Amino acid sequence: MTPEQVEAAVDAIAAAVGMPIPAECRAGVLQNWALMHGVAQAYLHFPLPADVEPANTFRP
Amino acid sequence: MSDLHTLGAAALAQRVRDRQFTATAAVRAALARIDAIDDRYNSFTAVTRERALARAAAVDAALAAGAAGGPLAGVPFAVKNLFDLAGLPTLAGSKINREQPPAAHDAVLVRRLEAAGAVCVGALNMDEYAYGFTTENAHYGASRNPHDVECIAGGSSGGSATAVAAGLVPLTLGSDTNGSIRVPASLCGLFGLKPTYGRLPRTGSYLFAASFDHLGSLARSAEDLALAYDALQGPDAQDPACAQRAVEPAAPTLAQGASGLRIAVAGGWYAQNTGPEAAVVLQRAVQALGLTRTVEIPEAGRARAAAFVITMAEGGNLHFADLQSRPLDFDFATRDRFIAGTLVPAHYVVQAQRFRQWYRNAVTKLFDEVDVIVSAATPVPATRIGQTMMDLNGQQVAARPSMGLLTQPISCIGLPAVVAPVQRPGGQLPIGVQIVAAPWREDHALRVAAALQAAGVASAPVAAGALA
Repeated sequence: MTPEQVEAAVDAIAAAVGMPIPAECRAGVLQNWALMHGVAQAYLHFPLPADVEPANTFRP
Repeated sequence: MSDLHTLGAAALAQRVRDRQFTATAAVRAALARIDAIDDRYNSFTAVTRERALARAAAVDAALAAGAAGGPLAGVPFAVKNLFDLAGLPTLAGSKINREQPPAAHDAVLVRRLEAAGAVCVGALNMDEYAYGFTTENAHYGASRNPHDVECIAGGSSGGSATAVAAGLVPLTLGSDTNGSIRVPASLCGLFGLKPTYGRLPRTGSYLFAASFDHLGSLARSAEDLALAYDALQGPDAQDPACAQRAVEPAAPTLAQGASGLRIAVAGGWYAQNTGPEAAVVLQRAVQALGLTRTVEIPEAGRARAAAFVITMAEGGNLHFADLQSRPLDFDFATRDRFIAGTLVPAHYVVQAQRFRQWYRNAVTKLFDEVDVIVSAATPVPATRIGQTMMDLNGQQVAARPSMGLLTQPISCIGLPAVVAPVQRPGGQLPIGVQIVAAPWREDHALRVAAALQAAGVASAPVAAGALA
């Protein structure tokens, strides 16, 4: 993602979930979101069989 | 009595039971030492003096009345300040939690150590809400490494490490979500145990990322670590993640050492992310254990990535309301990461949890072939306080997150791990060896740590600077 795309994504999600981003935090939030996005690529495209469930299991 | 601060927990308890000195004397000595030298290390955020003296008096009274005394009789200990201590707000390293009412009860693990005769003397510094590997806390200051006070203690259980390495107490409790016991144990030259996920109840502790949150302990010997672990075990219905297993004592198994265990060294991702100093330390352990086999933990790098994203999202979710209403009351070191964590797409989190399941199944197969896997615990020794970048095998990487490169793929799937510390000559900072076992086999990891200690490779003396 380009820096502009990161900024657009962060602003859109923040508006949707109602999370204000103070000016003091904006650069750091953008940097950390971009880092998260980059790190996630390591597993997002790893092929998983359809029957692999999420690890967190709810026990009633 | 003058060398009391160099005694381990087991030796101290034995002397209290033998009436060589009282629990009150042991606790008074610890309190005096904290008063005298902790301004160098910034381990403690609260010292529970009156509580400790009252508890010590009760231990002495029981012994005087003929009680046998517990396995930790009179042993002063302290806890990361995310454990509830009755009468204190549970800070979890934050300014925000100061406004919370004092805890009504002690955390379950505090109660269990005190039931074994130990005496809690206070609460310890940490990264805010456990989100960090350095314990450079903007609200309470940095905890300083007793081996070099210009260097980080590691985190997030930094105060839990400095208090033991400086000989303030022989035993502390910490928490480990992605490496927060193992990193400070490595950097401060201590033994540390992160048990299997679900082994120890977290009831009465402030969580960070519930998928990964573990509690454990730090000490200066494998014996003390096992002794404390045995006192901490047992089911607790209040923690939904607790596996409700019966106590499986590990201390009686230590004498077996590494005998009969199939042990291998972690290669692949682990070799790539081990710096030269850590590689030398690891090699000493490999030689002492006579290891010839290398295994690759499959897709460890992707597992670390999945843990990174899940942690960020769960942490952001936990603190959502405060991040919305009072973000500037957070530590600047955690604030922007937590806010970004509230903005992680659901697909990223669910896919990370699905990958985690796949990875768990793949790693489980490894334990058909080996019982224990060893690696370095941290890529490098302690960096300097304030240092933001570090060299790792010729590449400049961000110092803070990179300290967890070798621990995160393990806690990602809840495997038990012990850090055995290796001291280095000539005033060089220590580094730990990470000893990983199959789920519920903490005894195997502790036995290997004991073997390295018996071979003279692993040791955890009080830091020389703290003896001056």
